[in-house]
Amino acid sequence: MNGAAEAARRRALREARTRALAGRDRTARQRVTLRSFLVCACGEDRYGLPLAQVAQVLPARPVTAVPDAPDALLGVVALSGRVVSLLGLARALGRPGAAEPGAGHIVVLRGGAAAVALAVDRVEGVVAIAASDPDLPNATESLLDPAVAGLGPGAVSGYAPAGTHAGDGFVAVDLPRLLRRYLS
Amino acid sequence: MSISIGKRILLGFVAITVVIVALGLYALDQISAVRDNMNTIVKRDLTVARQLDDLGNKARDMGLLRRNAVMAALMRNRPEAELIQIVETWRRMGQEADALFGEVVRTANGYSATAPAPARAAAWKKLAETAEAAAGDFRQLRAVSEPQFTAIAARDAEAIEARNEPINRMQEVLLADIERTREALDAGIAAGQQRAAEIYDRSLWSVILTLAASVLLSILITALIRRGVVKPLEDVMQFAERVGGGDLSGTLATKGDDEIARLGRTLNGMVAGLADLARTNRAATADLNAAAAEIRASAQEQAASVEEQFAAVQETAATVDEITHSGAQIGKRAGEVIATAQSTAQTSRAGLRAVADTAKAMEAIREQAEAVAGNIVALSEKTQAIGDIITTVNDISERTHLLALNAAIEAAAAGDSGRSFAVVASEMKLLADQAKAATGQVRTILGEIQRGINTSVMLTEEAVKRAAAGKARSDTTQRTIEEITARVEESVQTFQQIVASTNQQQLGIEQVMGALQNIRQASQQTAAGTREVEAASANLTELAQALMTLAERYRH
Repeated sequence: MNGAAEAARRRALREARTRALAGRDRTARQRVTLRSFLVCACGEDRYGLPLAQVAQVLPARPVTAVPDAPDALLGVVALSGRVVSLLGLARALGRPGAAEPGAGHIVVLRGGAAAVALAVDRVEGVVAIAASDPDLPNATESLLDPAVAGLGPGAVSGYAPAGTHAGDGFVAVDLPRLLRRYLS
Repeated sequence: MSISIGKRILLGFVAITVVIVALGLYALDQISAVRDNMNTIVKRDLTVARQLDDLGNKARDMGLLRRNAVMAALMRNRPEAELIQIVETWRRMGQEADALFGEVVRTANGYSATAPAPARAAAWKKLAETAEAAAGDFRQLRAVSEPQFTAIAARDAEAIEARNEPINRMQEVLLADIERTREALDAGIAAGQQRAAEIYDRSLWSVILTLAASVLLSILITALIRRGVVKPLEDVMQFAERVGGGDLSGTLATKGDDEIARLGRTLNGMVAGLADLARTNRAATADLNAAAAEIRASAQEQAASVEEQFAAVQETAATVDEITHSGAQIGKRAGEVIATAQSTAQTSRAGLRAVADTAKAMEAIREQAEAVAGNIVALSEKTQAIGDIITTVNDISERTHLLALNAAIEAAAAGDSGRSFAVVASEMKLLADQAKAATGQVRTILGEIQRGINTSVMLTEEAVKRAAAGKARSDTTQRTIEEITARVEESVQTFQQIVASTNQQQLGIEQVMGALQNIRQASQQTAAGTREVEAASANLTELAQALMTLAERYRH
């Protein structure tokens, strides 16, 4: 590892930090309605979970399998004295399953009839994005409607294009619609 | 005429022999008559001559005695006895001489009566008469001398002197008488010689006549033999001459049973045999001619092969000479190789020392590399500890990440009041992510370091192995160089043996050269002998052709 690469790396780190500190004031002054999403990675896909419906993020822990369960239901886990059902997010969305159970993170959901947690590969962070504006359907800095984005209907409530945030774009997941299938 | 030639010749020989024997007997008879006559003449003459000599001697002795007596009487000092003895001796000798005269006269008279030739008888008669006269003179001398002796006995000197002169005269007369008697005897001897000559002449003529008669007889007998023997022999000789001239076709006429006829039959058989022999001879001569030609051809071939042999010997000698030169060069080169090999041995000993140093250096390198490997292993353990620390830091940053997320979630749940906390949570998360990224980079770097260390370990192990291999190769090289040195020294010994062998070889080649010289001389001698054989075979061929020509002469 030569010194030039080290210097370039440090400079990039400082620039990112400077930009983040500079955006801090701008975010506080913004009057537009922002929706916060918890961005999770499952395989090669990135999903955004509405932050209001997330209760807690935990590291992975042992899962107890449940017999005759659907494919997406990995099992049940014990969290703070409660038994919580653990769903694989990618499987629930019909995508190829995540890596081995026991790794990754667990996202505990808030509210609802039953206690549910989602197993993801990794929780990457919190992203705040503007809600989709009917007036500006093609605005690049807001959440896109699925129809506008060319995506089919389902459990997807929107699509955040890449380039606006740190990292790539993500698919916003409509959690109630997704969980309805397993909680009915 | 059927008397054989042998008998004819024998007859002639006997006749001639009888004539010659008669001639010889007659000649012997004549010689014996001559010898008897000569014996008689010589015996008689010698007897009378001896008697006359005795007579002369006695006369002289008597004179001497008388003179001695006179001188003894005159000297007077002689004894009487001696004088008497001299006188006595004189008287005795006088009686003996007287008897001797008588004997001479008797003998001469006897010879005169018995002599065959009248001349001899007359000579003896004259001798007897002369001797008679001499005897008378002698008696007178004795008578004259007697008175002187009487005077001597009386020693009368004058009387002695007076008697001397007549006595001396008488003495001389006596001597002259005796001389005349000798002359008469000489005349008798001459008559005897003449008689002997007559007898010899008569015998000579008779012998010559007999010889002539025998010669005539021999000629006659020879002519007879010639007519009976030589004529048939000439016929045979003519036939033999024809045969000698080569005509073997004729035969000799044979009639009768004598030797000539037998000779003719024998000659006819001989001619037949000669004709047969000539035929055989001609065939054999032809064979001989062919054989001589073959001998000559083979001698020429042998000469050619001897020439080739000589050339081959010369080539061999040249080759052996080259071998000698090349052997000398081998010796020289071997000497050079020995020098080179000795310097090579020195060089390889130096190389041996260098290789030993190299092995030591390799051992040191291996130890150093093992130390380096130990250090690197320790370093690897340290990096393992660093990896553990990094894992711990990574875990901490992960937990911080989750903690920041939970804080953001709680801030969102708090609504507007938690907005600022959300910002803090976001920054916390950013820090955690940065720490995690840094940790990842450190992990990457540490992995590279560990890979490098592993590579170094492997390289060091490789270096150790290579050093060990180098050590092993150095040991191998050392052994190899030792073997090379040993081989080189063996080579030196081998080349010294080669030099010795080459020297021996040179000696052997010199002996071979000597032998080749002998062979060359022998082949030269063989060539000379072959030339002689060739010449001899040429002569033989010529002889065979001459023999052929000779054989052609005989007609049959």
